[in-house]
Amino acid sequence: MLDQLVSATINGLTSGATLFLVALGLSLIFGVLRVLNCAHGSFYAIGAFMAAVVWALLRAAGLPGYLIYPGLVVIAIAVGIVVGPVVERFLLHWSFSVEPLSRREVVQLLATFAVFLILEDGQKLVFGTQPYYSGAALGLLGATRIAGILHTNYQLLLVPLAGIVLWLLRLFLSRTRSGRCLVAVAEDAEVSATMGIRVTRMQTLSFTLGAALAALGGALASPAIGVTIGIGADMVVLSFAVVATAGLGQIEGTAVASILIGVAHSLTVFFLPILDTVSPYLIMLLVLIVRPMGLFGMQRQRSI
Amino acid sequence: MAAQGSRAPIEPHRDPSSTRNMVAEVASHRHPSIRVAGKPRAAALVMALAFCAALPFLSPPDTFQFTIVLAVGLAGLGVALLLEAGLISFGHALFYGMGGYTVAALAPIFPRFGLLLLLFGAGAGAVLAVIAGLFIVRYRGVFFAMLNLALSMVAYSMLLKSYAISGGSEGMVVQVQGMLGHALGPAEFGRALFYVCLAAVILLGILLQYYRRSPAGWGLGAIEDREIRIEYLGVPANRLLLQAYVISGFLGGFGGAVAASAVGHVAPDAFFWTTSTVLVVVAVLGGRGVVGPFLGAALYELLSITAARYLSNSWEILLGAVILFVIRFARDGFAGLPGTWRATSLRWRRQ
Repeated sequence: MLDQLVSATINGLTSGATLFLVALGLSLIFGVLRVLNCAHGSFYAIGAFMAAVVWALLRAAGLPGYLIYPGLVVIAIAVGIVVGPVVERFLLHWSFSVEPLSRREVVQLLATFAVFLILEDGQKLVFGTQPYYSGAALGLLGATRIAGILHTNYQLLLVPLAGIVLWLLRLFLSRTRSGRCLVAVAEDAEVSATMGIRVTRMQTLSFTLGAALAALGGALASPAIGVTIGIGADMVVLSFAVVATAGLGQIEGTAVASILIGVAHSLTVFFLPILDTVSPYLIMLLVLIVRPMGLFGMQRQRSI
Repeated sequence: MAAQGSRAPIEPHRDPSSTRNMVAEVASHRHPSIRVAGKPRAAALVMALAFCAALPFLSPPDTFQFTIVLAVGLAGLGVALLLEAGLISFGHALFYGMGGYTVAALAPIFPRFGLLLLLFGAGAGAVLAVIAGLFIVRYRGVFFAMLNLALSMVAYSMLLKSYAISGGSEGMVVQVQGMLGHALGPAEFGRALFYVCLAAVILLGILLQYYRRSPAGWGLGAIEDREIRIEYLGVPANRLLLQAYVISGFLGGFGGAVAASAVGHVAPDAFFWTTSTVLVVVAVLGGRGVVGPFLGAALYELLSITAARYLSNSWEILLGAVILFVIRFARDGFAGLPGTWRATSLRWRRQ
């Protein structure tokens, strides 16, 4: 019983780590652009697919398998840089720049949703509909026995890795010039524009960062899951559940919420399998009933 | 509240002095598509309906397709109603699926009462909307959209698990074989269902138009514009939204029930987010207003038939591109295109 509890908690922490990366990207994009990016799951899926493809290529070329680890980070950055600005500039900005302000929220949701549809089918065209498995990449770092159950070191390393990403992001936001500009735009886009910050550039930057984070989550998760069409759709709802539980735009809150949801999900898989897919949403619904702005969110003033 | 407004005439242009008409005038400036039908439009509408009624005779094998268009249009109408309050639901498959599964569950009890089953399906959608709505109407914007999606995902996965009741991923067979107690053969039933559905569309469309012209209906647009201001005027925004949400759940349930009766089978896919996608696309394509979603559903069906022929695996790319196009060039959907063009040309002339 206790063994199972420990094991379930560890599994929850590792899945919470990748969930955190994706949700962090979603939160970042929302903070700066005020857009809930429905296409976020697609970035996750593209990252996962690319990782699986690179793994297969490494194998085919006879190169050492551990090259995949730096490869995962490179993939994430590449996906972010290639897909992020293209989607943000050419699809999103192009489509809703003509809208009057009052309808923008709905319209932006719709636009990102359209992008999601396009990317989802794009994956089918590029990667086919067969699932990819790169599970062998899990075992390269060995395994550790905790409470009688074997866990791969790769998955155990995900948690500190997510912590490092959080630390780097904090550092970027508080110490660099563009990071501070990003925070300023998130706080108030109009005022920052009058201060000489290029708001559109900051928006593209945050969208790229967010897409790269989602792709990193996908790339890191890909050895542990079967990469198939449809993982993106599940992920966008799941990461929204995390972000809503935490409160939109709360970075540390997102970390807490993704651990909470990851562990709760894993516990239900072990002990209450009938609720396993539902548990993240149940947590979100319970939190929102008690605190409508999320655990760490703050009520914003509304203008009349 | 709704009863008072529903007695007023539908045409605001007839008597320019009344305040109601001023409200209508102002609102129609904001949303070109909410212009109440004048005489030429009413005539066009009647002709379109007559054409629809003749369709099963013009092309009997396609009756099923036409029924599906009406069903999807009804459910899309529910989504379009919420759009008027500036809210988009990515989870209306919840009500669509609920309607279908209610018909499937009750069909063995009333196999020859197709109309009754449709009403049960719609009622189940409305009841579910009351329960879900009490929670959901407290939220706006992205929360409203995503909470709807989350609820429908919860329903979907619960359905997959409860194999004993719902048949799991295989779904259930729907055995409806008659209307009003009369047994009907498959072809006759298909035609009867189409006409029942068409009658329901007309009736519900008229009722909904009255609702949209009532103070409660105008309130929806006000919620989008300045919610706090209407709260100061003593109008409880959440209650207006709950009304609209229940109506939209009813429409969704009705659409799902019609589709289930027509197909003869329900699957959990009815609850899946892809179904919600279809409803959103239909509502956005067609535009605001009562006719829009049906136009949207017809367009959607046409698009999907064309796409199935020429690009089988990349059909959602086309859908996404169409949504982006509508957002960019036709913000009130296809039904609002004349208004959008008028507004655009007016802007150009001013410049």
